[in-house]
Amino acid sequence: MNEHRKTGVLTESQLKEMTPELKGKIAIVECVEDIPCDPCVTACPSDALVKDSLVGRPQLIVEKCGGCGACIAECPGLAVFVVDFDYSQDKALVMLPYEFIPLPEKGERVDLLDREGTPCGKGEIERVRVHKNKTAVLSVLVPRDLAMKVRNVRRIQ
Amino acid sequence: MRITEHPLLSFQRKRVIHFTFNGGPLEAYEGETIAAALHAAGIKVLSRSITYSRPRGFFCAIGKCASCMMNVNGVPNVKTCVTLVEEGMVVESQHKGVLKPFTGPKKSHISHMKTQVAVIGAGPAGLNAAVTAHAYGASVLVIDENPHAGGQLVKQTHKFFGSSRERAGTRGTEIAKILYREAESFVMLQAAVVGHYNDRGHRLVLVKDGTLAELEAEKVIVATGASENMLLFENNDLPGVYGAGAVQTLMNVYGIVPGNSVLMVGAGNVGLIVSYQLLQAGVKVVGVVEALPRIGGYHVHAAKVRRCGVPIYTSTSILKALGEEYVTGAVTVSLDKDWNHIPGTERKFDVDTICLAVGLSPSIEFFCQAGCRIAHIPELGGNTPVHSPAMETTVKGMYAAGDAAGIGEANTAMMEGKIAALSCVKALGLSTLETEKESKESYEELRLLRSGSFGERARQGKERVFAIMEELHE
Repeated sequence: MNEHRKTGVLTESQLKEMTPELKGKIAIVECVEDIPCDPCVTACPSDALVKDSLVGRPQLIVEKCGGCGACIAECPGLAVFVVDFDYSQDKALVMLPYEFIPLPEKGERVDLLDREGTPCGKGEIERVRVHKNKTAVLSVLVPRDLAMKVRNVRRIQ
Repeated sequence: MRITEHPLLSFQRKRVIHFTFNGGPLEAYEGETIAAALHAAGIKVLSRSITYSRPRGFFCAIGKCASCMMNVNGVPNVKTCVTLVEEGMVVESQHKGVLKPFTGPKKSHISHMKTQVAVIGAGPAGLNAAVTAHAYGASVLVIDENPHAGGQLVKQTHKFFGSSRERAGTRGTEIAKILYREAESFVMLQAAVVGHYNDRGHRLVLVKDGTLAELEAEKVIVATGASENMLLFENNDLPGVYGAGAVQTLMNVYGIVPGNSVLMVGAGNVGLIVSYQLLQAGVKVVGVVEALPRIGGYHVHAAKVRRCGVPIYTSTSILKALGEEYVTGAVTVSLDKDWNHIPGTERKFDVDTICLAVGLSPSIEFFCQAGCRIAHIPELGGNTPVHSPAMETTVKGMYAAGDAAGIGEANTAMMEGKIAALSCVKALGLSTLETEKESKESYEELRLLRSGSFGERARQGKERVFAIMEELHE
């Protein structure tokens, strides 16, 4: 049995397989099961996300993905993130779906949470965009070494 | 407690209504059910059991179980979870000695109606069936006992999976609105179908506003949905032990939180989705327990609650609910590989709500009354009406669709509704050049939705049902 079926958290090797090269600005599709679903494919303006059938796993064509993030709010599983690994010398940018209130604001310092919801550092909200389907996409500046760890944020009370 | 702000929903509260509960004055908002209004007022104990005087609260919140029955304006056994509260209503608890004899609807009021296609249940399967049949010119009437159309879609705030060609990516709440807009003119709400006679085609008996009506239909599509399963554990009847769907109804339809702190039982898709929705409503979820050694639902749903810090305990079960009048806590226990409790692993959680998401069973009462052949198909949630791929049951002219035809999910329910309606259209001689094409596409869409590992059980279950149907024909 795959570990994630027990924990609800993807393993390092699953993540490595998903994103072999941690560079540039690219979508990280954390969708590892054959779910009958395809909104990410229709959302992508550059045909970078493909599925061979409705239930196949989505494949990212790395060369085509510009990291625009159009897929983030469209994915029903909230499983797509965009990471800009080279945002600045010491910061990466993580774009993540967010469906809680109150929304954090641009410039706000937030707790960075990993896939288990454990705080792993502090970051800064760079942008907040609310999609018409009401899912917000937060762009969060995080320390570079946390780019593949941070998948949620929490407002600091 | 009522929710005032929500990330996805807005609750438009209508005028304030006054009613009494056991003689005391209470306020509610127009459009709320009695059970919801009482819960918002902090009243969880609705009645008491007749024999042992155990406290009784609601469990399903959609009119499927009998847990919420109360005395309303002198009428006993009113399902308060689907009855809207009205100005001046007198609501009383039921218990030993108070239960009054039931006086049924007056016979002199019987009215007669006729339709080509009667649809029982205004959920995703029923509404999609109705819209499809109507598009081919059939006269259609949909009957549902709930005050809202849309079935369980009205509380599904998450975006749907499935194909973008259909409605994937759209939130269930929006799908309910889209379907109802198309079907509104032929949907009758707060009406219950209580009888079926097949001496002259299909004759249905309805109760609406306390009066009886007779409906003659050439075809009947039964889309009565499912009811939530109960789980055996100590004190499982305490108010505060709610079905996951009930919590969703309370929270997402009426904007009332079930409590402050919840233990979720079951890590299938329903348990995971409802846990996430509880977090969105600002309710604490202390954890999700799952008896299986693995998470049953989609990983993406599990990941959503995990990254909010909610633990998922696999190989763990609930041992008992704590509390006298309502839930004040829960005790869980770890299970070994043979499902035995492991002594010393008991763990106490301080919660006021225990939410059960341990599966669903098809609501088959109507098929039974009509004499449809029933088969026990574990893959489809238990007792299921035997039906053909065209969704026709063993009673000619009676079709099944959605969860009532075997537990699935809303996308497959809508597709089954469509297929059932197209079968009716063909049988009524209303086919056009489009019918065959649409029919083929629907079968293919349904096949696709059930392909893949998550669709395997449903696929196998349906194959067994179809095989039984074929055997009966030979």
